Formats: sequence, C-alpha cells, structure tokens
Amino acid sequence: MKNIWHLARKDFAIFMTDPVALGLTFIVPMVMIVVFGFVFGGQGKEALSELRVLVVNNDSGKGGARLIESLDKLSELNLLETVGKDTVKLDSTRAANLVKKGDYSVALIIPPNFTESIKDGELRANILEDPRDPVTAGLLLGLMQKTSFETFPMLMPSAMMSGMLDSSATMAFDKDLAAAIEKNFGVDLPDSGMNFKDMMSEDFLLGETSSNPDSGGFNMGAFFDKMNKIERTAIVGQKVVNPAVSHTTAGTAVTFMLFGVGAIAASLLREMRSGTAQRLLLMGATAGDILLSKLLYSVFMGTFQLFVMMVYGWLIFDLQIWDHLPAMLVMIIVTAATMSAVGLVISAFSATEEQAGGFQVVIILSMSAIGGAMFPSFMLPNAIKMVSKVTPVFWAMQGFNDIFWRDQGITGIMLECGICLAMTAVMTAIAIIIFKRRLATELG
Amino acid sequence: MNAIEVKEISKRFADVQALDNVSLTVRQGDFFGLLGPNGAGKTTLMRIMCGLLSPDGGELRILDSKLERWQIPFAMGVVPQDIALYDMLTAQGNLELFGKLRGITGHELDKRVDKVLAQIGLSDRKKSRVKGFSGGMKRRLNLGVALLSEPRVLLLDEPTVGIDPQSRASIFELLESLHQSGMSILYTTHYMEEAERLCRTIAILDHGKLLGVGSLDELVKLVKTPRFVRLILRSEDETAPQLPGVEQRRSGMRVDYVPVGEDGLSTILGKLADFRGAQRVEVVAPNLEMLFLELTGRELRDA
Repeated sequence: MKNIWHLARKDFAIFMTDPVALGLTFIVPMVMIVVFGFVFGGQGKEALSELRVLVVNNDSGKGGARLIESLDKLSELNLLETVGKDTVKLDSTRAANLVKKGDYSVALIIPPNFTESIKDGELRANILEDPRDPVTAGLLLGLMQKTSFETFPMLMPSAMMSGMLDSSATMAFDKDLAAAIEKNFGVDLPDSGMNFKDMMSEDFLLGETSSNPDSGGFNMGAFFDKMNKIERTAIVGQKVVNPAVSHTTAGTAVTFMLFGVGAIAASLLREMRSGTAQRLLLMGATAGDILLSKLLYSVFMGTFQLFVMMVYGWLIFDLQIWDHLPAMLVMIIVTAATMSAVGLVISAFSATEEQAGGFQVVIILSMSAIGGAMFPSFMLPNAIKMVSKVTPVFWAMQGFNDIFWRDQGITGIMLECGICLAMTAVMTAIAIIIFKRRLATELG
Repeated sequence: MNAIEVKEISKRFADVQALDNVSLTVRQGDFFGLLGPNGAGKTTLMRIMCGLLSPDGGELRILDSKLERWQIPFAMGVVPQDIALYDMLTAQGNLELFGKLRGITGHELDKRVDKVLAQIGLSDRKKSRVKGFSGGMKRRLNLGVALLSEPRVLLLDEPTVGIDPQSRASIFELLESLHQSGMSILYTTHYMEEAERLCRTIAILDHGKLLGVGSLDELVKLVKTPRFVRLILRSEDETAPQLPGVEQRRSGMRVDYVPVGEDGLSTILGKLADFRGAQRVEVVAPNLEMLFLELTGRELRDA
C-alpha cells in the first residue's frame, strides 16, 4: 500500500511541475461547459434562438402587410425584409438565392393576391425552405396559422361558411331534385326536414374531425385543406437520397480528422525531446522545413482518412459521393490542409504532451460544436453562428454542405476553399514563428 | 589552415554567463579535446560552433572561412550528445533520411550508407530497426550519421555517455582511424581519461571560461602538485597510518601522502608496505584531474 501511495505521489509531483497542463485540467471542462451551454441555448431562459425568416411581400392589398406586422410581434421570429446593409426590400428571386446559398433556412413569400385570398377564406403563401432545417419551416407554418386566425378573425368563419354554403347548396339542389321527381313522376317522397343540425354530422358536432366525407357532414381535413393554401417548396437538396447522412458523415469525418492531426503535436514533441529535431537542424533542415513536413504528412493522411470516411458513408448510407467526386476531392484536400494547420498550431504552443492533449480537447471539441460539425449550424444560437464563422470547421462544413446538399461543383465551393486556405496559411505562419522561438529557447 | 577558430566568443542566458570571451583554435588534422565538468559551457560552445546558436559576441571561422549560420552545418559533421535517431526506422532508413537532408541521393547515397555501416560495424544490422539496438550500437549509428557527408571537421559532444566499455573502445578505435585519415576532430567530454587517451590538444573549460589550452604534456607541466602516494583502504573504518613530515589528505577510503622532498616518495612507499589495512598502494603522477583541482579548487568529477 505504501508503494502505491509513493508512486501516486510521484505522479502528482510530476504533474505539478507543468502548470499549463495543470491549468488546462480545470480550464478544459470549464470551456466545454460554456461552449456546449451556449450551443444548446443555455445562456438564458430561451431554449431556442430566434428563427430568422426572410420575408417578401408581393401583396398589393393590406392583408400581406398586416400578416407581416403580426408575425413580427412574435418573439420566436426575426423577420427580415432586407438583408445586411441593403435598403432595398428583398424580392422573391433574391430570397430564394439566399436560401439556396445556405445563408438562411426559410423565406416566406406572400403572393400578390394574398388579400383577396383571405377574403375567400384561404391563407395563401409560399415557404421556400432548405429541408436540412425542417424546424424553422415547420415552426413558421404553425405560427402563421395561429397568427392568421388572430389577425384575420373572419378567416375561419369565412372558410367555414364557404364549406357550409357548399353543403347547403348541395342540399338545396337535392331538395329541388326531389320536388322535380315528385312533380314529374307523381310520387310522394318523404320530406327530408333538414335543418342546421342535419347539415353537420354528429361526429363533427362532438368534435370528431375525421368523419367520413361521404357522411354528409364536414371533413376537418378537407376544411383546412381549403383554408390552408400555404405551400412549402424545398429549393435545395431535392436530389439528396439520404439527407441527414451528408451532414453527419462530413461532420464526423472532420471532427475525427482533427483528433488525428493532434498526432502532429505528439510527434513533434517526441522529436524535440529525443534531440532528433536538433539533429534535423544540424543536417540542414530549417524549423519551417520540420513543421511543413508535418503539415504535408498530415494532409496526406487526412485526405486519405476523409476519403475513406466518405466512401464508408456511400457504402453504408448511400451518400452520393460519385456524383460530386471532383468537388468532394478538392474540399477533402482543402479540409485536410486546414485541419492539419490547426494541429500545427497546437504543436507549436504545447511544451509537453499533457499540454497538447489539453489544447487538443478544447480546440477540437469547441470548434466542432461551434463550427457545425457536431450539429447543423442552423441549430445554433445566433451569437454562436457569428462566432462559428471564425472557425475553419464552419467553412469546411459549408463546403461539404454546398457539395452534397446544394449540388455545387468546384466553382461553387471556391469561397469556402479560399477562406480555408487563407486560414491554413495564417495558422501555419503563426505555428512556424512560435516553433522557431521554442526551438531557440530549447537550444539555449 | 585552421579547422575551427573561435575568437572571444561570449554567450549569456538570462543571468548565467554561459561563455565568457572564449578563444581557441583547432588546427587542421588536430584531435582537440574540450574538457570540463557538466555545466562548464561545452555544449553551448559546440552549439555555437555548429550553427545552432548565435553568440552574443565574438567571431567564428570554419576552415578559415567566416560562414553564415545556415552554411555551418554543411561544413562539418556533428554528433550530438543525445541519441538523435528514429527508433522505428532501420539503421539504413536513418542514414538515408539524414543523407538526403544533406543533399546526397541515388547511387552515391547507397554507397555512403554501406561505407558508414561498415565503418561503425553495423553492416549486418542494416535492415534492423534501431529500436532493438543496444546503447552502444545506437551511439555508433549516432556517430555514423555525422560521417555520411564525409566531413573534414567532426564535432562530437560527449559521444560515449552511458555506454559499456566495449562500445566505448570501439568508438575510440573508429575516431582514431578517422583522425589518422586526416579528419579534424573536436571532442567534448567530462572524462579526463578520454581526453588523455584521444586528444592531441586539450582545452579546459569551467563556468564559461577557458582555463588552459595545450597538449597533455604541456598542461601536466602546469600541475604544481608533485607525484604522490595514494593508499586505498580496505574499509572506511580503517585508520590510516600517520607519517611524520608528510602532508596527508583523506577522502573516504582514499588517503593521499604528498612527500616534501624528492626522495620522500620511496620513504612513504616503504612505510606503507607492511600496512595490512591497505587494499592498494599506488604512485600518482600529475594529471589533468589535478590541474583542474588546482585551477578551480574542485575535482573534475564532482564539479
């Protein structure tokens, strides 16, 4: 027992000699609590963030404006009739393009005859959606129906009257037909004796909404069908066979590639400890050569790993990799380079393997969570969405989503590739500067 | 022609003066020993000489040329103190990697790898992973890497640390043969015996200052202590004989008797001849250890 105690004390004493690793032991979980807390909306009382919805009002009457005014009062929605610094209101094409690009999940298009349709007891609108985010579109639909009944109180009676008139007309026709038969054929048909109650089935009056359409009463489904003329149109991802898989495969692959590049730090620290790094310098290599060789190795390994993951996604979930092969390969290589540069930065800043492990966990998990590799970015609160744009994971995921979801080719992912490569260059330069300083310190 | 010329080189790390105006010259074809205890500044001087560190002041010339820092590694072979090899690569793999970094490729590289493996006696382990090598084999391969570029100047930083006597002897033989072939060698060590055996010229360094430079004979002549008799006792409990008129110094089981006159040595030996508590009695001639003791007040091994 004494030996165990002595050995445990030895490990404790060794650990205490590395104050950075010691600090990371506490800082890592604290950072992760904050990151995941914000990601899941735990920063306040709101469980869900405000849903951003583009709005285009093509209605010439008052109805469209009134609907927008009512929807705008809802705390759940953030309606945007203009975007960014634009002062001109969005039109349908621009709104559709923004949804296609993935900047927004949903656009509500109010048609030109909206006011007239309300008078007819119909709620007409078009929701253009990115089906990757079914939550926003679904919620908008529900909120629109609720708000419409409040904003246009005559909408339901109007729709109901329209339905009743249809039934009364049928019954009036039936009555006229009976009279004609009696008159022409000399028969005496029994009086139907119908009143309002007869017009409604018992089931309907008792609140049963699924009464048989042939029963002569109202069919609630048909009633809502008549009233609710809101169309949902998916404008991206129509060809995607297995929608959820494209995100999860790319997200998982990117996250685990980040864990893979952490090996750079271990390898570099091993070389510095063993003196091989110094020997490489003695043989004519520079600090930059050493780091860039690690980057190159990691890019090769990462590219291979990501490609294998994508092929696995195809084998298991029918991920459509072969339709997008050139763009996918470009994005894989760019992603591997960017994530490897993250590994270089971790390596350059870590003096011990314990420190590298700590930095790795903080950087990888927070970047994956914030950047949209773990959860689609539309699930993130708006504040986090803003922060996520500084992470390379965000741009890598955007690239993969553009390819698999928006059916983009190489030209369609140029922006993401450019940003990723710029990040790679900056991170590599920082890593080389820091590593040179560390080598100088170590040699001193 | 000088292989290495160091002029008034200084280097300071924070509040430690690692090198203080050090000047020395390694002549072409010399076997130069840099002797000093741990922390004397030997490794710092080596790192400056091989271009890994910049000095705060002073001048360095390699083969009579003032080189840029990046050029220095290409002008000489360097054997670092650490065994700087890749364990998971084979002996051949390690040599090929470092050879390519020096710009040696193709058939020439194959030829040199085989030549070096033969020189260090590891031809039969060419395809073996370094991981399975003994400490001595790793040390030899560590030296072999520096020989790949067939340098005219070779710097070795304590290349025999932690190895068995057999491997040490093998490395000595190799270094002697390289020296005989005309190679200039600078060898740092804190083992006096190594410096005495291998080096033609020896420099003694302590606390960043050069205490003396010269051949072994020249340095020994500087020792003020004459030859003396050393008695090694059987145990620490033994009482050493007291000899009147003889300066006597005891350290553990070791007792040194320093004669006053020239004929005192034989008198002391005569008196100790019948002492039964003696494990060994020997005459100690002036050596580098004594010089270091006289110059610094400390023993080389304890410094």
